[in-house]
Amino acid sequence: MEQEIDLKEIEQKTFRDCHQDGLLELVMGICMVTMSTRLISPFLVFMLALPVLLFGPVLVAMRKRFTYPRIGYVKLIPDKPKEVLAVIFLITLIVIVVMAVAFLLFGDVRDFNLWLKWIPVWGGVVLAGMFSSFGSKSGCARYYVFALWSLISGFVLSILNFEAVETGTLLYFLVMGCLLIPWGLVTFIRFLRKSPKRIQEINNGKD
Amino acid sequence: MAKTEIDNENLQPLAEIDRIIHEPARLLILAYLSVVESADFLFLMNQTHLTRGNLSAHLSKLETAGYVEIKKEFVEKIPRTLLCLTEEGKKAFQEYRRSMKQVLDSLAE
Repeated sequence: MEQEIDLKEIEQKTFRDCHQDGLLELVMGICMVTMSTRLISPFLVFMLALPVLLFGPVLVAMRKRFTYPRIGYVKLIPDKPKEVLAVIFLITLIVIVVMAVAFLLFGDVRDFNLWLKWIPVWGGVVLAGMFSSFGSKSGCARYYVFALWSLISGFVLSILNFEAVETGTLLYFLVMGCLLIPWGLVTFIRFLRKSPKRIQEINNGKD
Repeated sequence: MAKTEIDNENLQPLAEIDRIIHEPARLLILAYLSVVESADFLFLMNQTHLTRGNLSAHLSKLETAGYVEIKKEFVEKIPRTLLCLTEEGKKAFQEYRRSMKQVLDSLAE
């Protein structure tokens, strides 16, 4: 069993080192803030497409430029998409059932606005699940802090009353983005300072 | 250690331990490669804290044994050495873990 524990530690260290650049948090934060821009102007809906671009070519290009020359390239074993979708579906189902019971007891289950008002709770639970999964994979406490923040802010923004029913959801994205962007940025700057480029050193020393 | 030197039946798996893997540096390399899909030379060097020459020598042995696949490629004109475990390597690593566990369990009794 000792060997299994060591392998788990190696897996966690690999995950931590792979994400030590803070770029994942930074990109996630930018995505969240982008989604919240609908709060400012309804014409910025097209910005919702930006996350696809940010998580795809932009993140890959930034890692090629800044991360891989410093710590090397690693491709982690990817999660199975079917399992990820199944977990999200299960979480959604549980949240819907709990909300339906709560609305039956304390409100009107047929009130569509009430469902919209409580969307931040669903977002909070899904993101908390994702961050907890990161926490388990990395052994880093900060992901559990993000998970807790996600849950609390989702719940609080669902309780509060706003003029427009979707305001809570958009504020939720803004609140999450405002946590993740500074965190990612500071982590990224620290990473650049403490990790010099080593790829040239490796190649120059080639026999 | 020759197989005939071992009398104790419980220690029989010790004679079957894969000597290629049973070297600390190579075991560490295989352990790191077993938890990722692929990694490059620099990443593995950072993780294992082995020197370039040392890592290179151990990787050559693992490649010769058929446990590790080494691919050379260019990314934007910069050479990159990509490493991953072969199916044979994965099996050998699992078998090694099983054998060692068996040996250590029998010693503990």
